[in-house]
Amino acid sequence: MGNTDTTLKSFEDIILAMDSAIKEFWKTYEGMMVSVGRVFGNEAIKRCLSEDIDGLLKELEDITPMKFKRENNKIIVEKCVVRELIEKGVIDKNNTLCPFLKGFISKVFESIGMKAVCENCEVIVK
Amino acid sequence: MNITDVKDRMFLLSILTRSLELFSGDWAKTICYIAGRKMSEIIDIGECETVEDCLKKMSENSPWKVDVFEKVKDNEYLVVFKSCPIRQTHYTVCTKQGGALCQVTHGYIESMLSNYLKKKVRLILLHAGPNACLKRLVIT
Repeated sequence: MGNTDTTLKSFEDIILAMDSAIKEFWKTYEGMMVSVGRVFGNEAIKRCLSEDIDGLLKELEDITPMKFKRENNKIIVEKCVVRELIEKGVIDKNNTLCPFLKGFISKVFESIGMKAVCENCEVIVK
Repeated sequence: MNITDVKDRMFLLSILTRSLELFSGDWAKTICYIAGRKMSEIIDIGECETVEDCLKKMSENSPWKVDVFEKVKDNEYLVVFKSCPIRQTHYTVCTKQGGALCQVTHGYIESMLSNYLKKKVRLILLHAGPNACLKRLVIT
């Protein structure tokens, strides 16, 4: 497959193409992608055993390319592959992947009886 | 950049496709196929006329390495996908080959060949393996 940079670029091209395909397929992709994320969250919580926030965050780190840091009721997304792709200019801010991850996270937190609101790479849990 | 970044992108790609499959069933295949077609717009392989030439140039300019294994008829070929980023994703993230994500490859190759040959091209999966995939390529 060549060197790492070329490989990385090819995967970023595929992600960009997927983002663009979803936008073309669903004109109202934002709401749609939140639902797609929630469906995946529903599948993921079947395999999650944790009943508290810290345990759940650890399990989330295992099943998604993200890293979290908890500050009481606020969870800061320390590492997120989607944010990296935005910062690198691969995809734009108005992408389909952020609503997907928002839907996913909110559904996962519902499994431990909490409500999660995701905004600006932060999750507020109630 | 390191290998972890590549893995992260593979991870994202696989969870996104799995979610689309859960949410919309076979529509996920359509979305992935469209994504593949869009890939063919991103990657430029230059001028070419024959299938063999197209596949050779594509292998030099994209992460897919495809060879003609056998020419069955004038308009039918057996092609071997020796290197494929989608197959790598499947084996890295432990997902099943032949699902929606593989349609990215189909969309990409079919669209790219159609553009150059000015004919309709169809890929049919015959065998999906860990090191290579065998597909039938039909030109109509």
